[in-house]
Amino acid sequence: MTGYIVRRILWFIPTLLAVSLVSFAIIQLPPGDYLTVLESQMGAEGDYNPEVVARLRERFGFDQPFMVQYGKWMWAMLAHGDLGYSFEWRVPVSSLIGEYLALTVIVTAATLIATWLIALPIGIYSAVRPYSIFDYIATILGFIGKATPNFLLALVLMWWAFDTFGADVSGLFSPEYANAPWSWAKVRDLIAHMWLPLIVLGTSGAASLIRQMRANVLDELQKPYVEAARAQGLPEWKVILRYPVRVALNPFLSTIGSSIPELFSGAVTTAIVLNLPMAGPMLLRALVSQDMYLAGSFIFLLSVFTLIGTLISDILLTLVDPRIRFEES
Amino acid sequence: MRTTQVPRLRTIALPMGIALALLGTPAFSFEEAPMLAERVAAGTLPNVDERLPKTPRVVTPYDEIGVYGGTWRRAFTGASDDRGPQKLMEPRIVRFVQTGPETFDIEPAWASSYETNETSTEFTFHIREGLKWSDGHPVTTEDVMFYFEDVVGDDNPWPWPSLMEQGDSRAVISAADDLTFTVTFEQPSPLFITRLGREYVWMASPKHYLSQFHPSYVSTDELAAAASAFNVEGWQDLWGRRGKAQSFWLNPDVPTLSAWTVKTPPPSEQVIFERNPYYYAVDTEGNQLPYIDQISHDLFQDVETLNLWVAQGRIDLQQRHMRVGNFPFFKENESSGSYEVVVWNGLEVDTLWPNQTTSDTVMAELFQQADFREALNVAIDRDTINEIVFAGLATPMQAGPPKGSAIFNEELVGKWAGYDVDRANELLDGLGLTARDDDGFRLRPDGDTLEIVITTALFASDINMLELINEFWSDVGIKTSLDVVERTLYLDRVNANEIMMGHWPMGRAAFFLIDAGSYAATLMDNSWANAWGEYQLDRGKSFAVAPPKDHMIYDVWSTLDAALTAGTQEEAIALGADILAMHAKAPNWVGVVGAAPNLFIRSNRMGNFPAGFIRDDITRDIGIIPTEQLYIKK
Repeated sequence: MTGYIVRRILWFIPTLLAVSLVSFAIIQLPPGDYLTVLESQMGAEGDYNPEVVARLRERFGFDQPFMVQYGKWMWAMLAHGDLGYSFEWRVPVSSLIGEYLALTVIVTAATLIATWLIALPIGIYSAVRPYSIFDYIATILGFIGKATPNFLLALVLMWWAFDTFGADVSGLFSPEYANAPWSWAKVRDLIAHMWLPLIVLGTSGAASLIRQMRANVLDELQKPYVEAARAQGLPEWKVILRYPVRVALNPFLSTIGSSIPELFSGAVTTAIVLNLPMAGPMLLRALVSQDMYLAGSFIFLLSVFTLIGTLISDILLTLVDPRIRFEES
Repeated sequence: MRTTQVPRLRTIALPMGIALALLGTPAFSFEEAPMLAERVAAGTLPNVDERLPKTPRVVTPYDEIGVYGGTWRRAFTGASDDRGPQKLMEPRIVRFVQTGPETFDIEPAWASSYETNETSTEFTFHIREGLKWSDGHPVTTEDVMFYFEDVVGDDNPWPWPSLMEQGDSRAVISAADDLTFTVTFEQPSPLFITRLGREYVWMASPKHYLSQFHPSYVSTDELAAAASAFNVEGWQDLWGRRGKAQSFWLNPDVPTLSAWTVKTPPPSEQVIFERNPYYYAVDTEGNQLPYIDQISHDLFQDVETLNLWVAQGRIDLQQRHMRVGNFPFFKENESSGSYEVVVWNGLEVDTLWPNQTTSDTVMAELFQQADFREALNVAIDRDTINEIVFAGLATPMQAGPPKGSAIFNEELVGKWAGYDVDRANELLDGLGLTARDDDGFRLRPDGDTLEIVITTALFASDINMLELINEFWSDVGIKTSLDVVERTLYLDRVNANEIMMGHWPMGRAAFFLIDAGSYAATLMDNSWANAWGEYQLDRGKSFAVAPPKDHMIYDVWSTLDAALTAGTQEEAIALGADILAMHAKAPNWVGVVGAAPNLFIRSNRMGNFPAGFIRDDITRDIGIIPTEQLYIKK
């Protein structure tokens, strides 16, 4: 097991290198670069000075070939842990994205946990009592949740909250806490603002989870070993939770890795609409303004999370399902 | 009648004229904000009389003497949105002021006065005696010389500003004493003072602070230490518009001459500015300005969020990012958000730019025909567009400086702005474009369908308007297709002469000579002849080509040159009027609607904000009013 984990971690290195190269190339695909964006901004403001741009082009190394730029970025990252420099904000990327990533991880993790807490019991209950009133209600809600785009739900809920309570539900903090240092009051403020993103981000995820869980458990319930367990006189809840549910969980555990980037990207539009200080909007802005090291670092870190997520799901699978074994040879 | 809000201040109403009387001798001691009085009492700040210059700038409040305190709440979109806050508090040596419903003027700001010689080659400025930076250090001509010798120029952190050039030579700046300096040009520069009110040239930099980041003053090691203290790669990153040391909104420590200085800089979710205790202006009762303690800017991602904030009453005064199309929404929520929509007059005209030198030579030849351009113009029903797209709030017109601009030509803005389908058809038939394809569209002389590709940038366009134009032109047999691109790509295409017809507003009309590129075809964003414009600019573009002999554009170029080097601003304005008259003979573009209202959201607690002013980049948007006399009602 330990050897397996170490080998998996070693595989991270070539994978990450490949991902970083591809993402760096993709970021540079659109025509122009940060300075063309700057030029157009300056033009729109009637403040265009070609010499300013020429000087910056040299300063930022935009006149160098692609591989040189990539090499410099990678080298700084590997040698000094330096993620590069944000042209637009004029600060090192690392000092810029820390809090955004932290909030993103908090919101994403909370959403994931909330989704599971809601979806798994409902899914199991729907499977055990198929075609009951409760199952129908869960199914209808599930389909609606799955079919509604996140951002639309966010807009509707925001408008509803505004129209009904006159309350501002956007953002993750009240204005008075936005700049405040971390304190218990700020954490409470964060929790008070978190319900809306949780509902919006969790709805479609929970909906599909319910459907999957229901189908998986239903499949397992038909199997002979369930009959056998019942025949042995085990209580019904024990029969269901110990065997069919455990087997039904397999597909979920194996998707932890992929659900992280899914949540992350699903959160982009939602975070923009809800004005959340999360990584998604910042990544989008960085892409639009061609702030390449900032965008590249986000994508890079996102890949790291995905890889870690995949590793976690593989480890969990072996723990939950004794049928999965490693060949230690 | 003006009245005061606070009994502490003298309650007697003051006549307007007292402002002038005060300029000579201050009749009484000055008052200051409570938050500053506390600091004075604590001994951390000198008295207000010592902080103000001997003759402060006296600002007459629009409605009434204000009260001190409060926070002005605004919103911003990110690091690149620094012009928003900047325009509230530009540290200008001279400033635009509105003097009547459609007139404006320039007056000294941190200079006490200036003189111009008869040939417009010499400009002498007098710094207010006792003027101080926001850290209390005196402002002298040392700071002016530092700006021109060490901050801008070839070997300096920032290029030499084009404002300080005339013809091929640069202005010479010389200081007579601590408070007097002269700018001398070889050739006349009649627009220098007006441009000084508009260009991003502040004329002075705080030498006592910034010299510690300059290679002429400190060692390489010290520069490296400063760079790492600011968390940037090299000392060059400390300088310039977004330089970590020099930028007014990135560095809380940099001394400024603005009414407010940054306290919490970006990248914060909420950027906060706080009053400059040394600001050089007072109101007519001697209260030091600004009235407002703080300005806060909340970061928003999507404009819908901002709209919601408006409806919730979270914005005190803002025009930036408010769209005319949202007028009904803003009006509807006025009472729940306790604000009012205050309208200023915009000077932009939505315009289509047929590129007379487009790489499609058949289309280029058509665009060069005045009859063809007239047909494109009169085939458009501008009233319908105004009603549908602009809620009837704009004015159907040809593109030119709208009424309220310093140089205005009534004929130009009315020319070919009517709707006459028969006339359009007649003109097109007259050009021999009578053959039609199976769909009823006219054929070009080479037998292809006559199709105009309109390129527009997402940022600027209202697609609804272009779709309506598409229909109107179809009615006279001209096919159009829309090419909607991102702003950067638009610029790329423009610079490669790949645009057949661009769509971009004609702006900066308040004083068009300052930025006359639209008329000379040299402003590439809205050029009616890119290749000719490049020929005049002579930047070595391969597609640049000389206009045909005797083309009116040569007259435009020579008249513009004459205007920019005329002996006086009056002569320049007369020559500018000639340029407008040349374009009034045969408009080279297709103006659609313009002079749309610009919407300010003004909360009911915000005082001293006037309605009905002109809003233009030239006159610095909201900066045409002294923002320091705005106040938050208790």
